[in-house]
Amino acid sequence: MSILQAAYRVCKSIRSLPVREEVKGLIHNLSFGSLAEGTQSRSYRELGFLGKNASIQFLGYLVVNQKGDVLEDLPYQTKIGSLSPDELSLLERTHRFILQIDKNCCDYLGAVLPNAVDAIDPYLQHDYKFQRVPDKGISLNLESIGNLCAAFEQHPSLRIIREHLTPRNNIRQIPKERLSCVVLTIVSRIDSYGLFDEPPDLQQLEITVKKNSQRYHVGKILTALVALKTSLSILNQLLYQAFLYDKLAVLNQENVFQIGKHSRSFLGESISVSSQLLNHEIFSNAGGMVLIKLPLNNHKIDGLYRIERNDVSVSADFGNSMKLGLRRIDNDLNCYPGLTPDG
Amino acid sequence: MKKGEKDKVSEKLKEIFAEDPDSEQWQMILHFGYLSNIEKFFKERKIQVDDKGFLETISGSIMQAQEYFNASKVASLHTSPLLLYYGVSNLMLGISSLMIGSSLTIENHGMRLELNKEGSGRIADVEIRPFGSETGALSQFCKAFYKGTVFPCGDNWTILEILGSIPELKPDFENCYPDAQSYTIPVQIVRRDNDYLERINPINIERFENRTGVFAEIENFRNCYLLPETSLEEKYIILRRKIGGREIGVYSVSGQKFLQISHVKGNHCITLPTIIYMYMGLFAFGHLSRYHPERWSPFVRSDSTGEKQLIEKFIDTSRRYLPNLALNHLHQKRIRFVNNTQGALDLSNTMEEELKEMIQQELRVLLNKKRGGSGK
Repeated sequence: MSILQAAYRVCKSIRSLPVREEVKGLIHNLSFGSLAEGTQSRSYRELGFLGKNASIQFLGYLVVNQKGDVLEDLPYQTKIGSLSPDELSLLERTHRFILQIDKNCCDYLGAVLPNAVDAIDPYLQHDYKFQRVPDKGISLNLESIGNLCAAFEQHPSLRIIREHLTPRNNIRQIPKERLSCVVLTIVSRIDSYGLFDEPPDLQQLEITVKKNSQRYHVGKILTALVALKTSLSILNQLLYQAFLYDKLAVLNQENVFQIGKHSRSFLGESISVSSQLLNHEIFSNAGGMVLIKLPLNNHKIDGLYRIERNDVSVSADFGNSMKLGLRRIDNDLNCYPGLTPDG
Repeated sequence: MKKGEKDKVSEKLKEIFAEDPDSEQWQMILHFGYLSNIEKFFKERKIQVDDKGFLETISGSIMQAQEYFNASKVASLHTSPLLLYYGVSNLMLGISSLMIGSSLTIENHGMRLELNKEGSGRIADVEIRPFGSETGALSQFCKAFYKGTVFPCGDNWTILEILGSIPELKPDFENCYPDAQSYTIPVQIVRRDNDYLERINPINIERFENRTGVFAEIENFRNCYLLPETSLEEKYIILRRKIGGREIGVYSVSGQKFLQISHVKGNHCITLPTIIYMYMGLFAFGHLSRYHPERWSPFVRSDSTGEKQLIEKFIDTSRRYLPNLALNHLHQKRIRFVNNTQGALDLSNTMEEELKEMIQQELRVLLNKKRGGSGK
């Protein structure tokens, strides 16, 4: 079973959790305001807006809630509301739930390269201190979690790491903070090149660097860690969306009117698509996951994609539309398959 | 539509320089008044024609068509509809024979007039009843111009419906019959850099009873367009073509696009090409003038409602545009006669502001790369 299939099964299990309706209701209130006494206010919705746009799932709301005072000092920032104790408790529970799944999926890496576990943590940059003592966790079907962890053990990044952990390789000696910083730098560098371009030095690793050199082995491990980090980040987003929505947003013949640039590069596949505005219930922020199902004759673009960019246009003269920049996600939940080529 | 891809309209549009469009279009049609040109036309399409009588039918029809058209120009409304109807019948016989490659079996008009004796007295209330699906001219011409669809017979059409289906008449039609529903909706095409859309002014669908459901009455609309969207302040109704959606609608002689509302006849929803609507309308007026002078003559002499003016416009429009439509069907292109300067391409308009914006955007991307971008 691929990681993607295993992730879908976990998402399906999430949809039948009793706590899901509570979580869904809370996030909906944060987004659109609530009729409940004392909660409907602009500042409350400001928390919801900032939390959602942080693109780090439930942690976004928690961080904004915790650092509201600091954020309010920023220029042009309006007042930010606070979560009630029950709301805080609920969101921390769901965030812990995701953290636990991440931890289970990283067990194998922890055994092979312990100082790299933090490096692949999608939430590493965010310093959040839990404020509530966990009273009860969220229990999920053990079989689906087990399948997901087993699938993650087959992630190509782990194969690459095993292959390149040679006796001469000193990557195990690199402090975890430094290793995390390097992985983050590579991620930032990829981001800075945008959707249709890529850092030339990543491809150079395969072409010009001597295959037996220390530099090559370390380079391969670092890029494999980037891919693994990406897969975890995408997994977290899928789990988050499973709490909030019954299905993934679909870009298809009923909403897409233009396909822009479509590129297959060293890193992976990217595409630009213009569509009518999707229903507000369907997640369409940067970092969100969407499916494409378009029966095109010339090339197949159907699949799961991560939204890298969403430019929304609202105009009385030209109507409403959004232009999405998307990266394709493969069966390993990786949108940079070029970093984990087959051996 | 894919970015960079021309929309199918511009690919099918053929602009021909003409100082006098009417004269130019007849030059193109009269090309088929010569047997050798007809033979060459069939040879190019690998159609074997041995029957010289068939070739003479095409040639003769086209030559006669022109003479009837010319005669109708100088006749008054007492006889011009009949002359024009004969001209159009001949023209459509010739052109459809060219399109199909074989002779048509026509034994009658394929329709008859039904005067509503108890009606309002409006010419618009006169009805046309199609019949004879195999040998009627209407059915036979539909095979050529209506993509082979058999015309359903039995239900009546009013002249009002026919006139309301002709795009060029829309403003005059709505002015003459304020309570009547038109069967065409004008659409504005908007082309921007990397974008194409169509939009409708909401005023143009105010007359429809079911404004929200009017698009459901357009044949193939849902196969070709996404759900219509009302823009901010209800300024426009925005239409976006689906990926792979083909173009629907018709164009008037001015190049304005129109979407056509279907007519419900029995169990069928029918949308006819404009050439057929014009043919049916000319049959009605020709037949009225020829066989019902007791109705037609007083109408022409002393109409005070304004209907006469509308019908005159219909006659003039048909005279000018029906041959153009026939050529469009024959050549499978939208032929537009223009008076632009030929042989020159003006690239001097560099869209300075747009270029500046594009350069600024590229610079921002480069600077962002240099700074290392934002981390995730």
